[in-house]
Amino acid sequence: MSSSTNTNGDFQSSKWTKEGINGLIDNDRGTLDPRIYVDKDLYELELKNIFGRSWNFLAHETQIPNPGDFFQNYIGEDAVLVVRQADGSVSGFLNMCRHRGMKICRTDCGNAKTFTCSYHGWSYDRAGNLINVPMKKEAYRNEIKLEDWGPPKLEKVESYKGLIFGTWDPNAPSLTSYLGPMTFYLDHYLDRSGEGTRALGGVHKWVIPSNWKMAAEQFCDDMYHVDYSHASAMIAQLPEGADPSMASFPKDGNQFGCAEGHACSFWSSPFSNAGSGPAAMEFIMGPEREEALQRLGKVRVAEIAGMNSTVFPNFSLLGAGAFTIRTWHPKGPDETEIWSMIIVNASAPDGVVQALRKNIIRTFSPSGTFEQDDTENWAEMQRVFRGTKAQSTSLNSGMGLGHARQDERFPGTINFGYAEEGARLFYRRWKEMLTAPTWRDMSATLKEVS
Amino acid sequence: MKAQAITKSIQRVELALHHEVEQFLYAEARLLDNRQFSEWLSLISEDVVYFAPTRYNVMSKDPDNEFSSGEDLAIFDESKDSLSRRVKKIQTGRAWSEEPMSRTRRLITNITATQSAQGELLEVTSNFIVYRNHLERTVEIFAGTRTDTIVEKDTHLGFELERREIIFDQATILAKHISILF
Repeated sequence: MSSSTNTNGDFQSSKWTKEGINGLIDNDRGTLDPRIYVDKDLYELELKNIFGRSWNFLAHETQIPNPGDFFQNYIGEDAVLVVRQADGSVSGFLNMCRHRGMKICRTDCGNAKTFTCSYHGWSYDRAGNLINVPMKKEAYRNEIKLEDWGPPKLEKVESYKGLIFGTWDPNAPSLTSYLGPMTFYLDHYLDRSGEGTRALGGVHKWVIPSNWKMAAEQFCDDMYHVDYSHASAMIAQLPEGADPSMASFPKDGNQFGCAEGHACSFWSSPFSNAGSGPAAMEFIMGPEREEALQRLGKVRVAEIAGMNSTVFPNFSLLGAGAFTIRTWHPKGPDETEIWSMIIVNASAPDGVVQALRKNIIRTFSPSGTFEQDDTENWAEMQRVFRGTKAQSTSLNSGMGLGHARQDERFPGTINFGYAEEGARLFYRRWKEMLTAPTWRDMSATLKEVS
Repeated sequence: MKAQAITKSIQRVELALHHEVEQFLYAEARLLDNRQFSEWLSLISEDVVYFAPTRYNVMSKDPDNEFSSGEDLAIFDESKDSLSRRVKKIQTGRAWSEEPMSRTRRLITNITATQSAQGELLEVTSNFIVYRNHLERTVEIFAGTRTDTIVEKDTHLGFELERREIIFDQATILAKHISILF
């Protein structure tokens, strides 16, 4: 392959030094420097050193069940074509023709035997190998070696319980090693049923004028915003005539963070989610819960509720039984494209699926009554950070600082639900991955890295 | 869900009825522009279907896969109850996506109206452009088409909305959220 991906952490050509980047996040004092949301050079480093090296969500297994099924996604700003192979494996490659850089595939999803570039007609097989060049004999005099001119392929593609991830970096640890203690929490979403999960059709895509980390960070651990940001949506969900002061979430819960940068937060006891209707609630609190208890044990079913989470860097999940997954695609330091989907337990009866589906559409989607107030806040924050005074004024990320603990029920670093432990560890990993030359220079327990 | 192809010859309603249908759509749009949400809700049937599919970028040989189905993701999949809760959210005064208030202007055009064989239900298609301006300089423009089923009823505008399918002409929604109704 004449193509290569620079997977060494490289900030030598940047205006930023390691010390400068480390100074942006002060987890001893609990402060953030707003430039992490606006600086163009930091953004370029993120694309190269974080998105270019980490494991990135590509698709749910059930989106591409058959050979030739494909789904077009992004890693950072790179378009990636994700394709099911004849042997059942999944390949991913840069969606870029090696002749002049045109997109090889221009549709969002479908099934194909080959992919042909619309510019000069170079065509590629399902694994991204160049298999035909028009006028190869006459124009290239048979001197072009097709095997040299395929697009870069993802070095590793692996699945965790239905979710397919890929990385450009041949030196990246295995996916399960990368996920580390996060798998314990991911199972709360993914392993409740012996039948696994499935993705519903369609993808919500919309654009917010704000930095991707605002969303990724909020899904790490921010239970604190819910009562205030989402007050109107919560009041609207109350029964007719109810006292608006009842629109409040429980005040007991926990949050998790880890050296790998993943995080989640959750309430300690199930709470009513009346929006899904009685039939769905009967299933969720009945047979669905029983099977989940059998498979996951009491802690992960009865002591984790309403969980939001982020898999570093930009993949988030929310809910259980039926849940939304979303990728916060970076589109410049001041723009994010949200891609969200709905995942349901494969064992859920159709009527229940439809009720849960509608509830997610109505709460977390472009029109979602909860989500619209989040994107509103993030968009305004981004505008505030245009100011130089704003950029030189530190932000408070100190909630619960110094109160982290170990908890025999939950792996990783644990804090009270209303804290910022998850965000602090997310940003700790962020600066580490921006500056570490190799995986061995990162602190997380990545035992497989040789 | 497929955009409705024009396959049958259009059986136009009488001029006077067509005029009434047009005036209904204009008045309804004006209620939303004026933030008279409770009055708007009173035009909505208890059994309303209010649906907007998501869209994919597909090749012309693959038109059946352009729109999400009624069992897939959607931009809207609403009942009278959920529409009422959307209105209630806005009316709390704490819906930050609409506080401070946005400014909207709905342009409703290309109206056609046909009558069902039974004569009671009217199928009405219309195109829309909705301009939304918010805060200092947010501008969002939504374009699309709607297929409505309406019926003559003793609402204050003379008709009731039974069904509305909204097709947005965007695959990626170019807005930070959709906090308004169509």
